[in-house]
Amino acid sequence: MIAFAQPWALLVLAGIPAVVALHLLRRRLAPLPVSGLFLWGGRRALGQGGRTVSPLHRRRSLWLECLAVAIAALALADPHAPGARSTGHVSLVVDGHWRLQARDLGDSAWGRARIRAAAWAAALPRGTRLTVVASGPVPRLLAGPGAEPAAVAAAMGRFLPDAPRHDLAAAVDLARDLAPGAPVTVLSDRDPGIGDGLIATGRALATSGWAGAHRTADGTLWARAVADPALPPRPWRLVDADGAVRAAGVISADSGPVRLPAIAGAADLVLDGADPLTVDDRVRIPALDPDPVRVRIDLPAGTRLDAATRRAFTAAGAVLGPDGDVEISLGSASVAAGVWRLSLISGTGPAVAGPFAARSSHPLVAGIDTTGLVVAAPCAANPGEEVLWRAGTAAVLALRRHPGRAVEILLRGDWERSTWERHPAWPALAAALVQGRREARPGPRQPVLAPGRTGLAVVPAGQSARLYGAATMALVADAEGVAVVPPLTPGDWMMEAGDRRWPIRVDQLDPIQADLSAATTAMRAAAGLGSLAVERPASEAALWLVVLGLVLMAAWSARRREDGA
Amino acid sequence: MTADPEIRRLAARLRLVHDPRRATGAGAFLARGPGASLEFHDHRDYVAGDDPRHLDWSASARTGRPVVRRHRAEASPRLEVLLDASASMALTPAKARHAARLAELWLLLAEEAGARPALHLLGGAPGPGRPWRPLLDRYAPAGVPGHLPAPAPGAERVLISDGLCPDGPAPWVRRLGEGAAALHLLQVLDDQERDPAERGRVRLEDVEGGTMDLVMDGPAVAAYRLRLDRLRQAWHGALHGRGHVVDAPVGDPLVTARGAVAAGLLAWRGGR
Repeated sequence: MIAFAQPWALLVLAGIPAVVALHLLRRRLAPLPVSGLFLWGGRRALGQGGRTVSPLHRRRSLWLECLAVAIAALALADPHAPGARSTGHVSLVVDGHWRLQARDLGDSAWGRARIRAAAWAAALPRGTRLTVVASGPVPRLLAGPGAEPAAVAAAMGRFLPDAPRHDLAAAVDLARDLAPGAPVTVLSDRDPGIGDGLIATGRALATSGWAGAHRTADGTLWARAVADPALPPRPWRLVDADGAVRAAGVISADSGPVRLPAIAGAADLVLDGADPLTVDDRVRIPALDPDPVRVRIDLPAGTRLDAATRRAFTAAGAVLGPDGDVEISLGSASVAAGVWRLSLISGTGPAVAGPFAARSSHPLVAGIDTTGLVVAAPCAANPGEEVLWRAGTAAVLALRRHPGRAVEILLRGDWERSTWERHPAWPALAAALVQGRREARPGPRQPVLAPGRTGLAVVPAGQSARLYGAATMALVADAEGVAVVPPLTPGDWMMEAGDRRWPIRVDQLDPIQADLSAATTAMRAAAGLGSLAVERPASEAALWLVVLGLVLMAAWSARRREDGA
Repeated sequence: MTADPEIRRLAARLRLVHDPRRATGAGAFLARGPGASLEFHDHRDYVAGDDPRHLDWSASARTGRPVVRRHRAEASPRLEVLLDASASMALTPAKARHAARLAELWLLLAEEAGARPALHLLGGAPGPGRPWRPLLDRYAPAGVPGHLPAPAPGAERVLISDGLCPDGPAPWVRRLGEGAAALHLLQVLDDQERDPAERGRVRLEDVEGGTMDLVMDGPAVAAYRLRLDRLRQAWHGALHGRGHVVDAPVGDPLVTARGAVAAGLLAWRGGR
């Protein structure tokens, strides 16, 4: 068996049909001696009529020219035995998408990929160096750079494709950076259209699975599933933390969102029945937050302002009480650590009407329309205040931060002449305040994370925090205590700060990745050997040249003789 | 080399014909130009140095100026055979052999008539042309007709050639006929030259140089025949008043002999 280090050069063999075509068009005229050439002058001379196709004469020049083309193709293709010593370097990029776990007839795309990759590595010329990179949100090196081909099987054995949707280009770029000039072969379940070679072991299959699940503010659960129209309906179950089935049903391709009963505790949403991809057949729903935002309202009892404020904060999901995370009162006052205070400060100036110039990027006022809102007698902001709504030079709404993550929101105006309590901006501001306060609490802001996506978490003041699950990592917070949660692998994670812990759940819900219709089995392994430099003595190249030169000379001589020159 | 028996037998049946208008006696010929015989040639004006005995007084009286009579020159009978030795004569071995046999026939007939035969090879080495037998034995056409023999005044010349001259016969006739009593052409052409067959796509290779790729079909052959006829007409025109053109197809010399008899160059012995 012969392998070629430069297989593209075999395209030169296309020159053989070209040689045959030239011989078909070649003038092969029987010579006829004459004594008066001038008597034939010019009548239908072939030189004026162009060449014509004639039956192919198997002359010596034809064979020699075809042989020369074949020798040139072989010499350029650099043939060698599979065991030939090579100085080449090749890279293998392993697709890390979890869809490669799809099983069919007891076999998975990943299992087939491991076998094919091992065979591919074994067929590489002896001495070839190898670099194996696994793709993912952050590509990582599995073997090499410059590992022995035997390391491929071991590297693949330690790897399981479970990455969320990502771009393979990052892994290919990493492979090219680690092994410059080495051809990159991609191992996947489909043809991603990048790299120099391809080993695809996928199969187009019909699947179904959960696409998403969430809980509304009132605790209602909603779920959505996707299913291939070719599949029969699949049953589902909602199982609470005690293992009791709280609801059940079936999903099909035309099923809409599924409303589930309100459950305060954690629950699992399970799809039953056979499916090639089981990764997205189960969703973990975390428990409802047991500690709502508490609000203490200290306004003149019975006034319109007091009643409207209570309605607005109750609608925002807050719990009203004698103490709380948020305090609302007239006039400015000191703020305790960890408390947000809304101070309603009276003024005496002229009335102004909205809309107000706003710092729309700030979460407290983002999206709130102040058109038609009349505020009487605002005044200018004080030093250290962050103005959120502005009317000319007057600061209608401002924010001031205090030590201990205490926040004071200053709302200025003459409450008897303003329209605060009747304008929709008031409940919107209350909702933003409750949401902001909730997010400022220690713990993850998103207890359910999408795979591959980052999240945010608040670290308690004066404490350090860490994440642990499939791995352990520290959380680094900014001055306001906000830390970035990096992309996490699917599963259960825990955020820990002091003696407190918060669960984080990462589920593989990605209907796009779960679509296996584009999966295929293909092989473009030749490109993987494209630029191998096989070790061979210089005399071998010289021998090729000598043989080619001799054949070309023989072909030229034969043609001269055949042409009668 | 002994004579071809067939040619010898043919020569025994033929004889050269002397033009009675040019005959002055047995074995004598009149030259084409003026000379000193008794045969009147023409008149011309007297110039200083002319022999006063040649003044024609009656003609001078009629014209009012001195006029002298000129008489035709008298030449000894002589026949020169000019055998084309160019490569075209060796197009086929039969063509070359046929040309050599015709030369031998004419030379034998000239010997028989006492006409002092000489043989010159056109394209061969120059020489006196006699004795002709060794020259004929060495006849091997291979060159181009570059050499022309020195003319023998008053000789009758027989050119044995295919007459295929790209630049026409006039230059040849002018040079070969200079000082000759007559110049005849035995045009030797083989069948392929006279009547070529259609052969389709061929590469024509002139034996004297040059090639041409050609579709040798009906129209091409017809055009060839037309050009060949024009060439032969040109030979007839060029030799008009000097001699005859005799067709000498390669093959039986008897055919050529009959043509020569018809043209009045030869005659059957015994008046046949």
